[in-house]
Amino acid sequence: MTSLFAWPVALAAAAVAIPALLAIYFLRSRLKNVEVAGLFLWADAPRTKEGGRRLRRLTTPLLFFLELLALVLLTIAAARPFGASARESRPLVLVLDDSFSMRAGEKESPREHALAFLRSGLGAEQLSSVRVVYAGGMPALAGAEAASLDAARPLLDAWSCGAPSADLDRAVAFALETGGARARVFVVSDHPPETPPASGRIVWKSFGEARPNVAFIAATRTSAESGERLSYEVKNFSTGAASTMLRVGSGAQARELPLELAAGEARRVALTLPRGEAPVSATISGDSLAFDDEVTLLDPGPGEIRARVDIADERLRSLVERALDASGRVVLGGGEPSLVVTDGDVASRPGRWVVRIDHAAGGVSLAGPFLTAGTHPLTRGLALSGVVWGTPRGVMDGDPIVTAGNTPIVTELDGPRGAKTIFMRFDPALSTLHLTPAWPVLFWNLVEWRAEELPGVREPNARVGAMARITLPPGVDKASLRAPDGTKLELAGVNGAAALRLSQPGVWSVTTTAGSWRVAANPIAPAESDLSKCSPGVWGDWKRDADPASAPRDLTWAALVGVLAILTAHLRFAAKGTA
Amino acid sequence: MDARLVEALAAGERAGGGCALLPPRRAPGGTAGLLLTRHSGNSIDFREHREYHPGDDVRRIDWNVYARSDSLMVRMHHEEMAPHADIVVDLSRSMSLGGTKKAEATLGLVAMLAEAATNGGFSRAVWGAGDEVKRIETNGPASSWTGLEFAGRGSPAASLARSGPSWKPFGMRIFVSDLLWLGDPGQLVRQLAHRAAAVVIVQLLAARDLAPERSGNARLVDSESGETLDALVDDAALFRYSSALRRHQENWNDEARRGEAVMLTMTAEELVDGWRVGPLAERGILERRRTA
Repeated sequence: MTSLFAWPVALAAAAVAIPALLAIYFLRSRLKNVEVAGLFLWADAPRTKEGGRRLRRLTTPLLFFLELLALVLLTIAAARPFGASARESRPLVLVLDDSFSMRAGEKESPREHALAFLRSGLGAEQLSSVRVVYAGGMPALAGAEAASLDAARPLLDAWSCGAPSADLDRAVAFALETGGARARVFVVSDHPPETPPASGRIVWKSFGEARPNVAFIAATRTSAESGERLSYEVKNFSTGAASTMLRVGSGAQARELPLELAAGEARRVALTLPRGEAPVSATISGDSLAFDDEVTLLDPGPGEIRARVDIADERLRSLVERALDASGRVVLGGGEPSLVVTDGDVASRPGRWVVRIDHAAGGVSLAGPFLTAGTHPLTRGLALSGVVWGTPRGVMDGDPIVTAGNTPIVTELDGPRGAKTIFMRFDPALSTLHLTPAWPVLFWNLVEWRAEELPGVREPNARVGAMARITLPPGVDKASLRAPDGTKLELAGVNGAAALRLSQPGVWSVTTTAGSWRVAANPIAPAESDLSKCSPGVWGDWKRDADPASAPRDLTWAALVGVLAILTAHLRFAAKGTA
Repeated sequence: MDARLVEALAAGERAGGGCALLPPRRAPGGTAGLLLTRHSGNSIDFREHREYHPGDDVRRIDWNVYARSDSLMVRMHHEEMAPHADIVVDLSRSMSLGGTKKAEATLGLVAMLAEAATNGGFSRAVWGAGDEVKRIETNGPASSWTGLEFAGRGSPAASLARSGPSWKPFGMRIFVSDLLWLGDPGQLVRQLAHRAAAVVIVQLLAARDLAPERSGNARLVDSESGETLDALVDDAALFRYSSALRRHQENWNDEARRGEAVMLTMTAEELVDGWRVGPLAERGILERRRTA
């Protein structure tokens, strides 16, 4: 702790005040000899040494020293003391770029260089604690607070660099908030910051360097009658031409395509393989970043739902069938339908949704206003303006999805274990709905909604870092998960679904008691594959940062409080002395 | 002797030259009711007549006067006596209290009384009561007296009790002191009054004895014993001192009254300022002599 005074000249007052106090005590305690004729007449005079010499000897110096101390403190208070913390240890938050570009260069990658740097410490910086934040698409606080960089080494070793992106600005903001007002932030990346750190608390160090790289920037797989259609897009992020070999599939079905790519050129390659459900891997070779050189595409599945139209009214049945057929994702008839559209009394059951259309005669035509549940899957893009909706009279069950004024015309009613009934009052004889785009939109939404709610993975081929949504079968509330590296996890379902962040590339397996599914996570991230903008450097300087705890603080109040305490004690002792 | 004291003796003597010591009309208790003559004579001389009071000796009725005036008158006579005065002066150190006129006033007063005694027809003796009691040789002028050093470290009562001076019976005894010691006043009063015709006690105090100054924290030093007392001499202390002095004087007055002694208090500074005998005359101890 170093001290300073705002007005040090006031300290000179002590040179006057303290001798004055000494003089007062000297003069006060010096006794004048007075000769008297009869000492006995003075027997009742108050003694200057009340209570005996011993007590006086103790009391008077104590009062003197209290007064001396009070004078010193008053002088200090007059000089307005300020206290400032000397250089002290401070918390550190390490923000580690978790994107896969940090792996470029294998043994000479930015990650390896950064780890070597961190293991050697941060110079003379005194650290009170260390926290680690992995900066991926979302910042993630790693582990618990460590006492030193050495103690944080396991967290550094666990730094995987597998994210398809790194939102470093967000991570820095998170680090500043997590670390507190005194924390310093050290950002490890492979590229310069977009703008140099404005705060002296942040130091950004880049360990990257510009390297040539060829990477997948897109990969899709669709199933058709003719076979599996695969499409890959490969881009050369180098400043010069590059050649690579695209290898698709394995074994006898494998195909190899040499690619000569000019600087910055992206080339799309489409292939058709025989129909099958096996995963298809594709690789390219020969660059500095292997992470983005392989993609795996899974069978996207049929992508269709099985439906049955059980409507007695010919006209209405035709309208419905045409609308379902137009979606291209419905197979009518055959097998157990997951969706039934009826004007009869078909009941829903687990795994089966029923759309019950009431078109009884005697209804009315409603021209609106039509109110829709805004975020409901059935009303996405549904425009009912100008539509005349003919509807029978009566009461409807379920929760309203679409109303005409205060009259419900489409409602839904959930049944047990995933059963659902959608009530719809619609009389085509009194309506224009089926003559407008809203009619196929309504059925497209219906099919899409139903497909989303079928058990399984909606998007089997995704990018690394994306969230995969898994719809669990009716009655299932958890799933077992196996990551590409073999790690096993348990996923808990909420409202019949579970979410999974695909944190590493490869094929993830999800297994429930009612079925299993797979999802492929592919390292497709053009921004991370582009290593041309990487460069080493250091931005920011902690020396510019003033520790808020060490900011000069006015300590006058402390001196005055001390004076008050001393005066209180003085009063107490003095009262005792004269009692 | 200090020149100022010699001068004080001379001044007192001069002042006493205009006065005469008067014998008190009543003797102190224990003297069997003797009446002393106001003027000495050679025989039983007629002095005056006065009216007869029951109890008067009928032999003293002057029948001639009765014949002329038809009233009973008694003849009054001077008794033939040789009056004597023993003047005892306190020679303790407190009588020469530093910074006061106490010593000058004491010696001047003694010389004044001695001279007045001579003028009043008294034989006289001056006794000094210091650590011991000794008679002061007073032949010659007062300025030549010796042995009047204020060196006593105890009270004159103690030294008088020890020495037992040979005072002349039925004489007048005058004691000059500040009376500032702690002890029984009755002892000294009784000793003075023993076989004395009259006792006069003159308390001579310095102005500072009567009204000390407020001196704050002070080390009070007893002028005789040298004992000290560290005290805060403030208004409260002065009040307590005055109260103690008043009680002390009351004790002396009570004992003096009880012993039928005359007691008065004089202030040294006032006395030396002109050597006025007023207070003594007012109490019937001295009278100013008529000049022809």
